[in-house]
Amino acid sequence: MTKPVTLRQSMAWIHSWLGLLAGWLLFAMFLTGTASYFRPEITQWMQPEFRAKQVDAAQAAQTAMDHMQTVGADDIQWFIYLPDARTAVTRIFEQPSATAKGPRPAEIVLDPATGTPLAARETRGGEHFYRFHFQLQLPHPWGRWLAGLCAMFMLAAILSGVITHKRIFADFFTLRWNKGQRSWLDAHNVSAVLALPYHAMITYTGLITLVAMYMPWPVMATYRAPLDFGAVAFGIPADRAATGVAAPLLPIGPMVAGAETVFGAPATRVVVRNPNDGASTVTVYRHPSASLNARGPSVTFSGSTGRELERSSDVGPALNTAGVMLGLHVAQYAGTGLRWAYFLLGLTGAVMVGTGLLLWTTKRRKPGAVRFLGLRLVERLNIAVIAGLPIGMAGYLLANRLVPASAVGRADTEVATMFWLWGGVAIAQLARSPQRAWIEGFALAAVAFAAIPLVNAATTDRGLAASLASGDLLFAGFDGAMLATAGLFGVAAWIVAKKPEAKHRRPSHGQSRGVSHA
Amino acid sequence: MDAAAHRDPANGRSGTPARRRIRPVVLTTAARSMTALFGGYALASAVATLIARLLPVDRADATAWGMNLSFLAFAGIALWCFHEPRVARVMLLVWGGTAALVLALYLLGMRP
Repeated sequence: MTKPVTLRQSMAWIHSWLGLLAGWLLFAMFLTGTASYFRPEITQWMQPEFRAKQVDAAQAAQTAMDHMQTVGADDIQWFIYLPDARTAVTRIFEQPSATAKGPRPAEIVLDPATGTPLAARETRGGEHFYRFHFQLQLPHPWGRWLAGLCAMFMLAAILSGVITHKRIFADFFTLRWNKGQRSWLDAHNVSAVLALPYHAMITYTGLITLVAMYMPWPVMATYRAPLDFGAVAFGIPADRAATGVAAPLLPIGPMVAGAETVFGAPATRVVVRNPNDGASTVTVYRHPSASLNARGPSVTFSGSTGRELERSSDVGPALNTAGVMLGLHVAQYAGTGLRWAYFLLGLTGAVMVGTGLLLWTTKRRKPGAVRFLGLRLVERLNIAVIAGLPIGMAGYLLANRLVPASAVGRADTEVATMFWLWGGVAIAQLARSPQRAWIEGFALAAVAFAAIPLVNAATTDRGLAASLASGDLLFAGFDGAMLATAGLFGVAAWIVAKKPEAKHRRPSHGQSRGVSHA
Repeated sequence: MDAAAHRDPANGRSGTPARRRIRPVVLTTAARSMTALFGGYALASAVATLIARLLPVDRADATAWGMNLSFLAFAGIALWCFHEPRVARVMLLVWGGTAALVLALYLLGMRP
């Protein structure tokens, strides 16, 4: 006796559940991921002692090698991330030999001009938001699995949302303000439809960035040694075992310059294997700004003779597709204008998820009716995440300026500040009515973001006025963005405050319910 | 509370008193959800692996096609699980399909 169910009905039902279950994490992933479009800029802002001098990649590679020869000459591998127009420092990860003694730093950060360890406050910088957006501050590999699960929910929510939404073109032009639930649905539809190609792209390509982890099974049917697939797909050069015969590593600066001539583009990364061994190799990778495809080609040199050994081979359409999907996601190909477009589209993602969550509560809140447990729970979680996370993010940036620059373990303190503040807001709001909690949460976020440029001006010599006077666009832009964010939260608090409490207009007539989600 | 929102249209037997229908709906919805999540992943993995094994293009590229398309397959299968009204059919096709494809992959062996 099953009643036939239309595709739109079943898709509307699953859309609301997918969105509800994954919504809060998706909101956090969208917001921190969007901030990550400015990952190097955030890092530069968080190390105000260090003023970047533009150094070319070959010189940075050479100063990095000179430093590594003094601290890790017998390492197995050096991974050297070279500076570029946006990144001010050289970052090195080393794989020490089995016989190496003593603890090694997780990461070595150098001044590219001199090759000396960077004299700046210890911080995770923009890397923290970037890592959080796909690891969710959980132990490996659980954070990545949970992020992948949320991304799958998002993908299914997008597909089911599009099926649900038959008036996709008309709703493009439809935003009815101050109509209660109807307005939230319109806002959800406008933010979703306007940026639909972006949302679908960023979700699918996000899954593709970790496809080797999420979907390892195809490799098992095609390669006896899975690393052989990686060698082709990721341009890893052939394995050359160390000979044990010592042979000094030749200067790598000229090798990087040679590779740049081959690419016709700057280098981004150098991997040195078995330095100071007869079989040492130096692999140079092309900068991702050169192409939509983030997996650029590589050139490998012999470290002991300087001769070119191999170039990465051309890959087929599927691997190129995967490389372009990766490039579209991380957006390192994008120039300044496109990067800001990405940033705004990322915010529409957060708006879409946020309005979807608010719609869920608005739909179920009826005047005079008892608020059932699920409604109260969703309402409180909405406040905790939509108002709480931005406050935590602002706290992370404020801690960067307020924790003494020389304090031990200060990078961890900055991260801890974000989560304690976020958790504190999530709990403190329970003492207030939902509407007061929204107003005060948004107001606190406005104050916190407005405080960032002030605290920056008070604790460093790179305040907004000084940055504008010296033409420092990065610092001036950062402070300006913080003020704009504060303004947006201020407006949000004002709008909620203006609304009469607990009075929600019903849809004007029954027909409008027909197009609502679930 | 919106009654329509709490009725699973995929299991919708409207008219039955709430107390009596709650248990079967919870059970079938749980079975449906688990099949969509884990069965959908298993079937999508099997489909992706079969593409990698059989697609007559270069080995690395066939593997990458399987991987690239796997999430689309997963999403499609998972959504279908919530559209098909008969939960037995959902479970049979997803789990049975996975078993059949895994068997086929086992018989085919590694890509030569």
